[in-house]
Amino acid sequence: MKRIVVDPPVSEARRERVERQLFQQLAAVRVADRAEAVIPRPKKSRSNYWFAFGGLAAAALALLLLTTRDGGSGGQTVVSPSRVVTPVAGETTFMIGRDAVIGAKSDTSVEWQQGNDGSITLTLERGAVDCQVEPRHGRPPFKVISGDVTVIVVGTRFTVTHNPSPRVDVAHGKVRVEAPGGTWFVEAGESWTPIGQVAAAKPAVTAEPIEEPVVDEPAPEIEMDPLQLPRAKKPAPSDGVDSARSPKPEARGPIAPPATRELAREAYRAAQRLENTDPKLAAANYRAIAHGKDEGWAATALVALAELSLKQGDPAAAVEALDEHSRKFPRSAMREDAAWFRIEALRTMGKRDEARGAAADYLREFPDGVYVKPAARLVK
Amino acid sequence: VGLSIVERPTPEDDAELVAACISGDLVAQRALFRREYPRVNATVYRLIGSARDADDLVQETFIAVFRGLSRFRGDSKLATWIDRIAVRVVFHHIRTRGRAPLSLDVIGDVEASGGSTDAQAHARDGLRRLYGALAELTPEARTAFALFAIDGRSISEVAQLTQTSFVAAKCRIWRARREIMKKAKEDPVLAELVKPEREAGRFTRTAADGGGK
Repeated sequence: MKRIVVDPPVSEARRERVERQLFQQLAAVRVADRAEAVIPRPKKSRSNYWFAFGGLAAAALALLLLTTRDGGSGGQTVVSPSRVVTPVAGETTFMIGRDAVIGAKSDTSVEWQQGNDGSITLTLERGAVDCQVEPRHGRPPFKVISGDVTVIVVGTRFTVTHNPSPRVDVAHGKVRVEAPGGTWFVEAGESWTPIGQVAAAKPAVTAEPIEEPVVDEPAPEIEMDPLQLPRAKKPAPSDGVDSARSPKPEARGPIAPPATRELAREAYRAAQRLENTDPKLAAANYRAIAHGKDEGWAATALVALAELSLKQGDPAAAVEALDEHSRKFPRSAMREDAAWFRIEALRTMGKRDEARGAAADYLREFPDGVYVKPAARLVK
Repeated sequence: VGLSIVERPTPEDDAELVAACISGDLVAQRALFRREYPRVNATVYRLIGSARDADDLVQETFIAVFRGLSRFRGDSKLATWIDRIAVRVVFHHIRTRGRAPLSLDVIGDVEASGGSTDAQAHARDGLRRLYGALAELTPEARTAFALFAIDGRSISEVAQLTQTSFVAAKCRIWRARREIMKKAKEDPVLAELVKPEREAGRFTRTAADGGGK
């Protein structure tokens, strides 16, 4: 295919406008970083020249508030609605009322609001927050929202992480996590992620009203071993594939296959986001999705696992994943791509004869395929 | 005592420039922006096909660049590092927006090099159809294809910029090309724009890219 010529519009005025707006924004960001807390949420419109001035004014107001209010134990008290922004490698602690101490970690943006009923809602836009919250006996509800996941406090100390996918770690007490696909209780020492939720937390049989805290009430458990200890579901057997080769998750308990299509999709997205930060966990997640009930996502996850394995310099694992793909999903919409991908993986491994054989197979199966030319060259 | 204003020279070496930018030197920051803007703007525009979105995304890219400059370790060229951020910003934009219909300003201000008004209108129409077809691809395939076929990057560069393997980048480009060619079969205007360059197309020249892998 020839190169398609697309000349970008060149205009000095455009460059100057972009430059002006960029440095206005940078100035506002710098001030916000220094202040650590910016009260009003700035509008996203980048064409608004008032953005920078608004940011500066907000930062100045935030500084004024922080310097005039009583700090209390563990941090400054901020008023609703507030947005707290921390810079990279910077942390801050603030109090909400008298019963919640929030630690915002590095590169975090969190907004909190108080409802008319006194309920407190933290919306985590990026980063992570450590929350120490008094039990909610008779107190207004306290929630943390991270994407489409809502953590409802029962009485506890916990951490909610937004990036790369929502994660909840509970140090003391108990929280309820509501996410697409279900509701889970997470207790002290447990963690919750969209993928490993079954391993980490116990599904709630029925939703409970927020106003009725259940601090002393044992969470319903659906699986008990003979010693009456909760045990996570184990992943399904890998159909003869050498699982020792596949990367394993860290010591967070086994990752259960997603039970619904919705969860599989969420899990797939989370795994994609994890590829750069934690490829082993991403691979483990892809494998868990591959064992899930939704065939479409399972097939897609196997191809993604193969791509990731190749990227990680493990073409053998890529071939295994692709073999599993063709064995389990012979009618998959991605079978042509998977077949070509396998040929490339074999070539990367130096197995030229096998690659040539696979290319011949490809030509037989996909005579009009998109990779016919390179496959034919390989066979020759 | 007489005072005179002496213009400070802007550092030309990448390491010096980065150090100056990190220390908050606005002159250095503007120098870096002006040096990198033309390439970043071109890449972003070619990926997205809309001048208005491109301006926003270029700004977003440079904000990320200046905020993350302290993490630049010098493992790759500064330009590559910046391009990678730009590609990530555009990719995120495409993924967030989903397969939304194209806005009217897409390729609205393409300046065809010379030619009659008719020819310019024809070129605009072709590009509008191309970006319409690209909008139906997955973000991964779209990004890889646009970097390769429109921005003129090699497959190795595409792999580097999209932080994926050479094979995966190649597969994505192939996949996108297949879909574009399917559309072109039914669309003569698009077909004229993307018609193959004789038999030995650019895509098949992979040896220089390390295609012997």
